[in-house]
Amino acid sequence: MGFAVWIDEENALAWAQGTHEYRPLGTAVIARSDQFRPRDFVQTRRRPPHLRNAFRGFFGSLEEVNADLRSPTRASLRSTPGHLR
Amino acid sequence: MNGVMKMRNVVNRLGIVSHMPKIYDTGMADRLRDELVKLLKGGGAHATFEQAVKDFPPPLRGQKPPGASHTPWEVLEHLRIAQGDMLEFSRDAKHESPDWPAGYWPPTPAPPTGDAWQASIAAFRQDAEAMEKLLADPASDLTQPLPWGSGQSLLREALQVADHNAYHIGELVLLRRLLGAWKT
Repeated sequence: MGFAVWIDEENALAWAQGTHEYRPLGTAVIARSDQFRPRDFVQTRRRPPHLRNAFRGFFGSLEEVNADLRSPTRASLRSTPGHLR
Repeated sequence: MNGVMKMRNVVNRLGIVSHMPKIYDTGMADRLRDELVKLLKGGGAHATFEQAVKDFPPPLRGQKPPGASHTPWEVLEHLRIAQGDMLEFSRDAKHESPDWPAGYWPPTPAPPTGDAWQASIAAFRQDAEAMEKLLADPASDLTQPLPWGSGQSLLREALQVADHNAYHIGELVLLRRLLGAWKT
């Protein structure tokens, strides 16, 4: 019941996907410098496959995601966990 | 090899989804129920819900320490709302979940009334007990997909409740530490 986040450094974008198992929220994409809002999520949107190694992590709420995006430190990225591929 | 093992081997070879453990191995099912209830009660690996909320100073319940994303009140209410949603989803085909994510968080960062904190704790306890009773009931099938779901079972919901609770109980403890209100 949270969010999975990917950072597209090349295009300065942030992608997030809701992880609530029976309340699908879909996927959202915003500018890396922006903040996510619930209305950014679209159920039919799909995260692009080239972000496979750009996974930022799991977060418990949108506020936690946005706090991480605001952080001045450069985000460390890793490969997407298997169950999200 | 006994008869049950032989049947399982046949079922495995054929790739059939089976509920044999429920039918043929009630001892295992009982042990699983006991373990799930123990997991939900907590205390095996970290602080419990009761420890996390005990004697929480009222002036700090709506405070957000620097660097935190939520206040203790927001986390407590999120725990209550999410657990209640998973409980009702597990036992009520007609249950309607709140809008997500907004409906899973309270509208205000601090308790709106003096009684709201205790009321939230009481509701959380009541739902936790209801979930434990549901799991302990031999009539509850742990592994059968819920007919109104999309593959979820009671077992999966129980594990998710425990997982979600553990995450946010830890968050509550951290908030208490940051606010200087955690007695070790």
